[in-house]
Amino acid sequence: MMRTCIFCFLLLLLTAGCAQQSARFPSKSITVVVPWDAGGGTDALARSIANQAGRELGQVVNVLNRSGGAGAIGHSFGAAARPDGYTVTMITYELCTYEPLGRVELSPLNFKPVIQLNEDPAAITVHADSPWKTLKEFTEYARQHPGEVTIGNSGPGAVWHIGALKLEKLAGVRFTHVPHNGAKPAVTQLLGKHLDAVSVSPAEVLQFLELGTLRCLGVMSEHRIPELPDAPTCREAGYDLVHGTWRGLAVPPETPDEIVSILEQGFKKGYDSPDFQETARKALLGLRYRDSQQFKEFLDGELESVTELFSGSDLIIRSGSNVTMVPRFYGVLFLIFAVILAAKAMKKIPSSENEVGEISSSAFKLTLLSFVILLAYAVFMFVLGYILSTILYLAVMFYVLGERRPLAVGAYSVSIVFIVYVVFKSILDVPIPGFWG
Amino acid sequence: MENLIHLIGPAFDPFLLIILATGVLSGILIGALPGLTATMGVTLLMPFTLGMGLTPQGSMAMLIGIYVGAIYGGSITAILIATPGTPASAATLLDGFPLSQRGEGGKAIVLTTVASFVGGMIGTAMLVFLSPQLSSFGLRFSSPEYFALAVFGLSMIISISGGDVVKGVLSGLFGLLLATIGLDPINGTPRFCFGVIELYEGVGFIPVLIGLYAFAQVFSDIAQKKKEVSVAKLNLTFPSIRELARYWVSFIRSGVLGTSIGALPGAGCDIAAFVGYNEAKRFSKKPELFGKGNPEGIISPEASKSGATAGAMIPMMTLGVPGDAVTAVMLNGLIIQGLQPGPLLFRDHLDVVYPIFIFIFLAYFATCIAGLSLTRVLARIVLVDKSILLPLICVLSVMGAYAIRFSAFDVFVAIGMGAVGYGMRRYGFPAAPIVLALILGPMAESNLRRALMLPDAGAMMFLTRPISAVLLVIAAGTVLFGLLRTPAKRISAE
Repeated sequence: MMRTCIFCFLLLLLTAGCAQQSARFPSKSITVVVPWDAGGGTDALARSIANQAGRELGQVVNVLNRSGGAGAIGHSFGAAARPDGYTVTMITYELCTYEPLGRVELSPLNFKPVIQLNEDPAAITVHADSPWKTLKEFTEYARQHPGEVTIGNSGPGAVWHIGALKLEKLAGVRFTHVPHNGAKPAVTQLLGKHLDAVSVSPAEVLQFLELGTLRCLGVMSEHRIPELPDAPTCREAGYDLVHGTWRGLAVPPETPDEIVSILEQGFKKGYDSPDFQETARKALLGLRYRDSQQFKEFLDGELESVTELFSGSDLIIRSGSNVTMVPRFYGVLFLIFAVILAAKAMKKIPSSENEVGEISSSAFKLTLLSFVILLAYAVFMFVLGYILSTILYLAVMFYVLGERRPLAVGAYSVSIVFIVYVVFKSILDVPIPGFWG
Repeated sequence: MENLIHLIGPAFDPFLLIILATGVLSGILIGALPGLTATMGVTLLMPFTLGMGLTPQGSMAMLIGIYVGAIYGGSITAILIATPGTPASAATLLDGFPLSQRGEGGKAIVLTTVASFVGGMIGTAMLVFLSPQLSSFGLRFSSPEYFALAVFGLSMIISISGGDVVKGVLSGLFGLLLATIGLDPINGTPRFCFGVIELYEGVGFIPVLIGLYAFAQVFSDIAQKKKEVSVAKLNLTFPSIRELARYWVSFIRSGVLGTSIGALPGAGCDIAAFVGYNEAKRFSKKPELFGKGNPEGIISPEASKSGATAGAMIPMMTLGVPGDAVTAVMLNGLIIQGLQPGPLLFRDHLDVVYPIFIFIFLAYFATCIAGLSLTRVLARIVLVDKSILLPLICVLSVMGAYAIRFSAFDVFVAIGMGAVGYGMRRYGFPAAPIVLALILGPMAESNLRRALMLPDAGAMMFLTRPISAVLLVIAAGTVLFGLLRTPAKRISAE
């Protein structure tokens, strides 16, 4: 009877807690997932809006970088988050490209859009010493010399690459697209005159345009951008081409609409704050606001446009050489050297092979055991949480390696865990599972 | 002149100096922890500097301090526990660890510290006086040149193989194969990913490094029941100035080489450190002493990578393109603060440019003081009871592997590579070629394929372009030199 009472009471508390929680969202800190590395443009945008929106929402808004897989890791992490509004993802243009490029099953349909914050157009830029003064002259030259004009971009399938592909399709010409590891290396190659043009955002080339080292032939925006009043848009140059990157916030699709609208209002106020506007201007991030509904319609259009561009065409494949050439070359070399090694080993007396020296079988068992314990530790860390599993791991390993005084084992393991946890969790802000995964 | 004082003066603001010193100290700590690299330190602390509302000068003081400190700090753990804290320190380990195993860890750290200081001074001098020349030299590098540079780098596998060249080459090829995992650099097609999106960006370099060094070392210490160095063996006498001065050629050669490599956009401290090591061995009268605790084998990579730290600032400041991953983050830090590094910075913002020069200079100074005063304490790490030290290294390494991108996958990659690394050690396969291959593999492949896309492409292109021809000849020289010297070395060893 007593037990049932306590159980009912706890259940009541729990439901009351839940009800209260949904009644006044947000009741705890919100996390913005950034699918790109800290220090980049997306990260800068997320951090500046997080500060402002946090003030408006009355809760701390944290930024969590989950980079990797050309943004796919962070995007899928965000899409699979609990749909309670406490995990918001900063989605970027690349989200539209994963499916058309055949990389990952992930698209804007895996999200419910909250608000769009930014938009930056692509631009075609050439060296000032090049003969081309207008976009028409440039495409005309490319028409007469198919495949000879090189145009650098920031990476295969990245937004700027797609911009150049769209221009190519519209002008009916053929460029050689040269992918780089980021926009800046491509710009450097243009500065050294190793490329004919680059397709990147105006911010990446702004100061060289100002100095007169480079020349912008066309910006893929609807209107001329304020930083570059002299650079024509592609429309002015004769091509109806509007293309660029965008960034905005989104939540998993099952998130309740009330929560989405609270988030939308909070982030909109953050967007409007002079502080945010000033930071974005300084960081050369183009501002563009769309509300939840407009953002959704926009995303649908983007997805359709990218899908259409890639459907039934071999645009990406054509641009590159053989994907397996280099690994195959390494593989063949590896086999050749393995055969040489085997031949050498047969000539020699086998025992001289072991350079580390013989180890006893008991020592080998100990090594194997410590490997298994390490593996178990890594598994338990994500189930039991960091503190408990680390204390356990340390205690077991101390014992295995010969430190068996109970007091020493306890003192060392607890103090090590304490220091490591404080340094990484509190100072370096690494999100480690504290007690329970 | 008065104008110059006006520009430099603010850099000596006590507040900024305290920030710089804090940066250096936390940098050394970050660098020394396995898995926490200079890149990560700068990345983690950049939002922090913005949050503190520091001026651009203030945040640069912090970031430069961390950068210089971390690149230096990585060598301390490489020397003492055979775990390079940052990839660049893998070259210092080759001779540093054998020296500390002889109980002379103190000497090794002093050599590292002094070399890092001298290399840094050479780098700073070149940054201040030769920036325009070095950056226009960097602009002459296109895909064929970068490909040739990568081939030259890979040829160094021969000289860092240790005893058996065939095993060294096999390790290197294993590393190159590992480096092809992920989205391919030109088409973006997934290769060897088996649908695992964690592999799209390739196998993480840091987790592999942690596995091959930290975990593999722990496993082999356990297998060999290795005990800590005994107190009686510990030698804490510092090398004399005269002894250090003997190596002046190595200091200068490595400093200049390192700075020049660092100044190339996209080639950083890690490549510079290995090149410094390779060239020291090439010019040495006794190359067989390398790998056994030769002081020159510590000084050269260290001075070289330290020069490269300053060198990497050159393209960042003059062209607005990063010299390496760390300066890429710094660059964004400056942009967020409303400054555009590049030619305009020198025209409009000398009040930022000159303090940056001063901070770099002072950061090396602070690193040197911190390093020398901590040496005696740090060198005692080798005395710590192994049954306490080894589990501690594992805990820190697991955390380091996780902290790069908060991925459980990376932790398992590190542990798996630990087993691989242990097996390699047991059968005499060196780990350093894998590190070199992981750094240079992507550079070699993407630039080869990019070069072949150029309209005037052809195999002759690599030999008709002067820079790439020179680099390829040096590469051939390195291979021949390595093969000719090795048999002699084996005879003398037996």
